[in-house]
Parts: sequence; C-alpha cells; structure tokens
Amino acid sequence: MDAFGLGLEHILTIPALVSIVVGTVLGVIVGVLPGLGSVIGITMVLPFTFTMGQIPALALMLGIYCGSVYGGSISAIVINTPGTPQAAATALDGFPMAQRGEADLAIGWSTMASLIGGLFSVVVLIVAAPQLAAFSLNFTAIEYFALGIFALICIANVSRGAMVKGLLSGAIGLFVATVGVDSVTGDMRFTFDNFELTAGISLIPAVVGLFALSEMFVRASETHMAKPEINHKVGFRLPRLADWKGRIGILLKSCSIGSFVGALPGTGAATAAFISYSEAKRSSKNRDKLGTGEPDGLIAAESANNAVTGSAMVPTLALGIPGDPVTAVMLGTFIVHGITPGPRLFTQHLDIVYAIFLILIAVNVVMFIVGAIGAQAFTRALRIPEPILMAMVSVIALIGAYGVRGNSIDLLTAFVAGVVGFVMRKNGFPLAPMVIGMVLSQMIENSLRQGLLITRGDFGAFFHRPIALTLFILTAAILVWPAVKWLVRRRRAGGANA
Amino acid sequence: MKLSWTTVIGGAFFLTTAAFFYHTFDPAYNVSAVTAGKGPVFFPRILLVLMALFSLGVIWQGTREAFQPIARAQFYHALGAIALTGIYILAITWAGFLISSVVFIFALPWVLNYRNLKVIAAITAVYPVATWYLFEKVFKIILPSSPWFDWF
Repeated sequence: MDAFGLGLEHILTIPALVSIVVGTVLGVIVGVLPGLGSVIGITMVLPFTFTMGQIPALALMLGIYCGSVYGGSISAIVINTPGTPQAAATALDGFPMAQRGEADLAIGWSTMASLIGGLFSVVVLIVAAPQLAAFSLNFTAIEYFALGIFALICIANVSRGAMVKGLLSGAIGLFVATVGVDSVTGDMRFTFDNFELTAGISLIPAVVGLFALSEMFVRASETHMAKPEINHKVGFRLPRLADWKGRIGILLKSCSIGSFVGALPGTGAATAAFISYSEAKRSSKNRDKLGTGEPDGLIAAESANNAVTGSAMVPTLALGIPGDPVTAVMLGTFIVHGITPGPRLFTQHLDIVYAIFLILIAVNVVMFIVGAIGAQAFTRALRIPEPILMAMVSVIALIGAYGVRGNSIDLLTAFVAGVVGFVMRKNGFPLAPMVIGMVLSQMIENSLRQGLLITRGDFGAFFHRPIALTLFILTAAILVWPAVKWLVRRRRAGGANA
Repeated sequence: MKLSWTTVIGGAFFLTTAAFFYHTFDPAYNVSAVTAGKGPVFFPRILLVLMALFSLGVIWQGTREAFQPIARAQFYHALGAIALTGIYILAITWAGFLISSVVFIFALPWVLNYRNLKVIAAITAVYPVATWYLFEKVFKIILPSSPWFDWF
C-alpha cells in the first residue's frame, strides 16, 4: 500500500477518530475560556496521550490546537473578551454584532471563515512542507546552526519593546537545556552531583510551569473581575451565500496573510489576525463600517488566525524547528511518541506525514460541525468560577509534568519554572523565546560543534556557505533593525526640533 | 540610578550567570577528551557571556523604568497560590497524589478568595477522585501513592 493509503488507514481507526472529535471539542472549550489558550490546552491533554498510540495522540493535540484558535472567537463575540490572544481582533466586529442581536450570525461568519482559513493552511502545509524538507536535505550542520540562531532571534525580536528581555529569555532557555549529559563528550554539566539532574531538565515540566502554573499565579495576583453576563441570544446562523459577494477577496487575502505569517518563526496567529484586520481596514469596500459589527472584520481576523495553524506546522514538520510555544510543545510530544520531525520524517515515515495532513483536514471539518451544533453550550463553560478552574487546570497540568518520566523532580521543575515564569511575565519578559531556546539548544550546540569539526575550528568558514550566509545576514538585520529605526526616529525628531 | 523590578531581575540573572560562569572553570570539566578544543562547557560559556550582556542590557533598561509597588492584597493572593502549589507538590511525593489533590482543590479557591463552600465541596469530592481513577485505572499512569493506604 502506498504512503497515502497507509496514512488514511492510520486515521480511519476508532481511537484516532474519537481523538479528533474529543480533541477538537476540548480545544474549543479551552479556547472559549479566557486565559487558557492553546499551550495550556495541549499541556492539559498531555497525560492522556502517554498511553495512546502515535496517531490518536497526534490527533488529540492537533484537535486541541485548531479548536482552541477557533474557540477564542466565541467568547470574543459573546462577552467581548477574547478567549485567546489570537481572537482579540475578532472582538472588534464580533461584539458589536452581538450587541445588535446578531451573535448567532457573527458566530456563523467566524466559523465559516475559520473553516476556510484552516483548510487553506492545510493546503499550504501539503504543498510547502515536502518542498522545504527536500530542500533541507542539502543542509549540513552549519546551515542548521544558522537556521537555529535565525529562528531564535526572530522569536526574541517579536517581543516588541522588550527585545533585550526576549534575547535574555532565549539565552536562558538555551542554557537550561545544557544541564545534564553533554551529548558529544558524555560529561556531566551543571548537575552539581545530583543524580536527578543527569537526565537534564525536561521540556514538558518546564512548559507546564512557565505557562500553566505561571498563568495561575498571574491570575491570583490580579484583581478578580466579575463574572461576565451573557445578554445575547447565542446560537449559530450561517451567512447567506449572497452575503459572501464582494467578500471573497478579503477571505483569500486574509488566508494568504495568515499562512505566510504562520510559517515565520515567532509571529503566530494574533499577529496574523491583526495584520489581516489592518489590511481589511485599508482595502475593504466596507472599511468605514469596520469596528461597528462588519462581517469583513470577522472574516479577516478569523480566516487569518486559523490559516496560521497549518502553516505553523511547515517548519516544525519539515525542519524540526518550532515557530512558537504551541508547536514547540507539540514537537516535544511528537518526540515522546517516537516521531522526530525533520526532513527524514518525509523520507522514512511519509505515512505519518499524510496522516497529519488528513487529521488537520478532519479537525477543521469537525471544528465547523462542533461550532455549528455547540456554540451555545460552549459559552456555559464561561460560568465556571475562575479559582475552581485554576485549581483543576493546575492538578491536571502537574500530572502532565509528572507523567512524562514518572519522576518527582519534574514536579519540582514545573514549580520552579512556574515561579520564574510568574516573575518574568509580571515584568514584561516574554516566555516564548525561553521555550524555543530549550527546544533548539541541543540542535544549535551540536551543529555548532560539528560545524567547527568540519571547518577545523574555523568559525569564519561558516560564512562561506551561501544558505548559512543568507541566514546570518537576515539574523544580523533583525538584530540591527531596531537600532537603525531608533536612530532614524531620533534624527527626524532632531530635524523637526531644529 | 532608579531601582525597578526589571533592574532587580536583571541583577539577579547577572549574578546567577556570573556564578555559573565561575563554575565552568571547575577542574571537573577538564577531564574530558575535548573535540577540537571544544569541551563540554564550550557552548555554555558562550551562552553565559551572552546572558551576562543581556542581563546588563536589562539592568540598563530597568533604570529608565519607574518602581511600581505591588498592591498588598494581590501580593498576598499570589504568594498564597505559590506557597500552596509548592506545598502541594511536596505533599504529592510523601502523602500521595489523591490525598494531596483533595486538600489542594479545596484550599486553592479558598486562598483565591472564593467562598462558595457548596461548589468547593462538590468539586473537591468529585474532581481529584475522578482524575486519579482516570489516570491510575484507565490510562494506567502510576501516580505517587500514599504510604498509609494500599489502594491509592
């Protein structure tokens, strides 16, 4: 049987199909609840995946991922509070529609746009990932080193106004992952004769701490808001076919923006949604109505943020380089399940790659059905008191931290990461670079050392390879750009004053 | 120089980085048969130098920020949640998952100023037991058990 047939066979099993549905439903619920989001959603289901087969585990995680991006739009529309940052732009037009008594229609628009955006990005993934994987087969250790540095710098740079904090966060992540056995020489590093540390600091407990526990601590430190009142009729109503007239251009443009932005390291669905919304505000025929409950705004935001889901998987699957914390956690769990993303996945396990494509298509279709049937039911999740929810999330997230290795040190790691994450978040340090740093550390270190072996210790020779040189130039440009902008602004201000 | 939380955190990272950098000169790291002169602390040292530079950058950034005092009630809530989670994690290892989770699920909402006892009691009675049963019996993930009882 060919790889596609095998991939199809993988997902046409009861456990895989159940995982697709359950993952998507849980994802939507996680998305609806403000503050949880995709990363916490995935860390919450981690313990469930430990005893599952590869494909059902992947299906559960991808369901959570796509479902949570969509779910955020429901609370954005109904209570003007985006369930996830990705849905912030959705609230701009969704909530005014709800205030007009058209919450059901707004959910209809956002669900349709999410479905189309999600499917569009799967097509991008299907086309781009194999090409990128094939191209990367030419990469040596030097190119991987340059790529790892480039990805990390991109992610640190996205932290607007906090680039130095982002760089520090990324460097800490890289350093933390060096604790344990040196994979080249076999020596122990920074273990201080502690046996528990010889296996290193595991990614999953760190993510549980940095995202789930720190979220709880941050919420505990903030003034509790009153429970939102839902005053609108919530349901689901599809827009008429005639209403799509004149809006297909915005839809396709937003899907393209989302897919492009999603493939870039460090950007993510929130950025894609706002870029797309700004573009709609510039080019839509109804631009004057944007912000007052205009479907164009909903289409732009929702198709773009869902178009990120598939394309964000392009560098993750093809190169093994995650673009954001969600794909970083997914990468970690892929490895727990014996799947190592990268070009070899496409040559040796093409059936699994096809299964992932098919799962993503199925998840998007299920997401549409789930949204259509259950929009009203999902808003009930908003009634769960926040302190109760936080306690429940903490317990299950800690099981996720413990379950990877069954080692109590991982609980302690999660706690320390939680406290560090809390302190950093409260002071504007981004956490995403730290997680990406932890994921990329071994690759960057090994490729640097291998590269130095290849070039007999001459780092200058790294710049003789064209792909690596291009990546180094891009990295340098990203690093220097804020300083150039600052200088230009200062000169202009100086000119204006003179 | 103004003192802000960013400065304090940058300073803490700088001192930690300096301590780790000093540690990389421990004779224990000299025993390795190095690869092209690049031993086990070659990469960490590069990172530590970068971390020191970025920490100094953060300290400098912090000097331009104003010190923001933390509201007392919020501080106590956060401290309570952190302390309770720490105790919960320690308790899991010596009292077992189920017993410690029952106490945690009951206590955390209380610490966070949620006082609906009926809801707390209902969740405390159901959630830890259901979670424990699901993982221990259905998914066969062995969670830390109590030293006082055989079956959980």
